[in-house]
Amino acid sequence: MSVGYKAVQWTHSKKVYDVVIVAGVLLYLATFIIVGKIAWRGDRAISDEILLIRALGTCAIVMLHIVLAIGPLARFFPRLSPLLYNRRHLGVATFLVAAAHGTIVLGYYHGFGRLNPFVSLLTHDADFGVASSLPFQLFGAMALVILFIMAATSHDFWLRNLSARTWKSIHMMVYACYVLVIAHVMFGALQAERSSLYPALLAAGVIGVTALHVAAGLRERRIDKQPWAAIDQDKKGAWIDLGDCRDIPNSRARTVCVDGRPRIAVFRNGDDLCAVQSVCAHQGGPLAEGKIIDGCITCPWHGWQYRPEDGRSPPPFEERISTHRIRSRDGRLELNALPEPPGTAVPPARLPEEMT
Amino acid sequence: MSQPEEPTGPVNNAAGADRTVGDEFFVGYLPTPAGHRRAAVIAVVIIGVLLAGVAGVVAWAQRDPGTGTWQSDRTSSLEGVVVIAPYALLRTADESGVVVTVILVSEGKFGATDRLRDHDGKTVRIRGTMLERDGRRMLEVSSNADAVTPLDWPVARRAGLLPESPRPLGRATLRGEFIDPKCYIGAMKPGGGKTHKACAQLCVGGGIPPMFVTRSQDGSEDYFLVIEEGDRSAAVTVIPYLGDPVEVGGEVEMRGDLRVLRIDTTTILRI
Ligand code: HEM
Ligand code: FES
Repeated sequence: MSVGYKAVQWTHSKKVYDVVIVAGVLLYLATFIIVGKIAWRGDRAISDEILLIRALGTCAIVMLHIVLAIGPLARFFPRLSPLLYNRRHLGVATFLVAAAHGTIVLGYYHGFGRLNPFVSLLTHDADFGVASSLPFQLFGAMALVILFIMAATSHDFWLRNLSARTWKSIHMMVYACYVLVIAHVMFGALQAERSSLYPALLAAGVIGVTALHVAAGLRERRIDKQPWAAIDQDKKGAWIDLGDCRDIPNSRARTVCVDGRPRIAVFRNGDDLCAVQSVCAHQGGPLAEGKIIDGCITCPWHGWQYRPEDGRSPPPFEERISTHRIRSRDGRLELNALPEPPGTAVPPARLPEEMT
Repeated sequence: MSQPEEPTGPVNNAAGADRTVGDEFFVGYLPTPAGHRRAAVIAVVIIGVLLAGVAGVVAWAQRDPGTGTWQSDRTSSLEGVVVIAPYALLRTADESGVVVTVILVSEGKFGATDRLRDHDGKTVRIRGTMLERDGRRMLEVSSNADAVTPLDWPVARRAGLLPESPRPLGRATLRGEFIDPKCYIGAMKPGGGKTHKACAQLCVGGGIPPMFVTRSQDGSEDYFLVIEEGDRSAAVTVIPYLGDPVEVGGEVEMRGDLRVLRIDTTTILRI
């Protein structure tokens, strides 16, 4: 059975999310334009086009910061996961706002002249050796191209057709995009503006985003670095002592990471334990932070589901993830670090009496 | 095939039962648990306040765009003598009879030199729109065919407007910025600095005469029309440096009310 692709599979959450995005963008633009018109008026009024260019450009960079902050924030505060759920719409909206910024620049700063605006944008004279003369607009244009590629491939159709890995690497380009945008502003507006507020705000943004990512990374490292002792080796790989499993809440999981290999999610389903790879087949979401709902492991990011007993999605879906064998021996729970082929049924292990 | 963004079959029915207080879990296609909803609302409110705050502060701190004006909706008509030196200028008399030099440009990012070359030294009436900043005036000549009309003035009337011999002010080394005066004087606000570099290159490349502007401590600005040795156009030399802070050496002279800088092309230095 096949489930066709729709442009967007609308849910209530997504609609609310998009309304909030549009309202936020309008709030930003309106505030910027009204304050800009009050700050400089009469003979000193800023051109409408330039005010709009600046409102859109700064709105886009603020949105980019939000996009980049949501991921780590949701790791620390799982209750913020509704903000993560539809982040790709925020990404597409960021592209649209940045594209409006670039389009007005193209028409206004590069139009009305002896050159095609695109030619002017790409060929205007610059000296790469001098900071004051670096072509900041090219950095902006490159960032916009990356935003476009990400927006255009954001749909699950591409995710499937490009393979999750390619898709993921495309979307890691958001960091290249971020660096380009920072360069765009540092070698552009910051060289023209006089207020020290701008460098201060930009520095705060860069430090904030970096700090969040470093903190989230350190937290993952701490989880990954927990020493799981191999106690036994058979031809199928190392058996790991899982220790006391009472602290795993029902329907929830513990992350186990052996020797830097892909993380494993050990789920508790009543008094049974089962283990699967902790990497969602959709966008690699952390399944160990998910929950068993209606008997299915449910990903915390977009709610894709897998049966704990064999790592297969419930029909009509056909996704499969790897499972891991668990055995209960001498009152101990042991996990095999070697993944079974995706979709392999493995018998669940019972919690030993003394752990229930 | 893609996974259930919409719930399928029995998925939805039992889901509520699975949800115990303190163990809430958000799934996009299921109703949002109260705790998540509250957290999301708080986050959205905080983000909203931050958005408005950042927008307001950033908009407030924008640099001064200057006092340039462009009466783009009013046609002005000027009478005087066209001088190509080496860019198109019009020497005209203001209301009190004082001679003023008005820089002539075309619509868009183009100069008017080629169009007016045949009128060099002759009296004309020119129609267009006025731009002005700090007393420096510019006329955007209308693209209409009849925008420039030759005038047949008596010699005496014309004589007062003919170019005077330049009054040298000596050598100088100046710090400031090469600008495209059309935007700077009022077509775009602000029309200078790094953000305007590419636009200025189009303008000067299109024949708008390059100028140099210096700023003194008190914020007042001086404008210089920029030429090269032999009274040639300095456009090609200046284009790479437009919008950058530079230091440049050359000879300064007054041509009537117009300050002219004849740059020494080997002395331009980015600072
Ligand atoms: C083709 C793509 C782009 C072009 C041609 C472009 C061009 C420009 C120009 C000319 C300015 C100076 C505006 C002024 O102050 O007069 C500017 C500023 C700015 N741009 Fe871009 N840009 C592009 C893409 C982007 C992107 C993708 C972002 C962010 C996601 C961005 C963010 C900004 C910001 C924050 C500013 C500073 C505020 C301002 O002065 O407007 N730009 N850009
Ligand atoms: S990553 Fe999207 S549902 Fe798991």
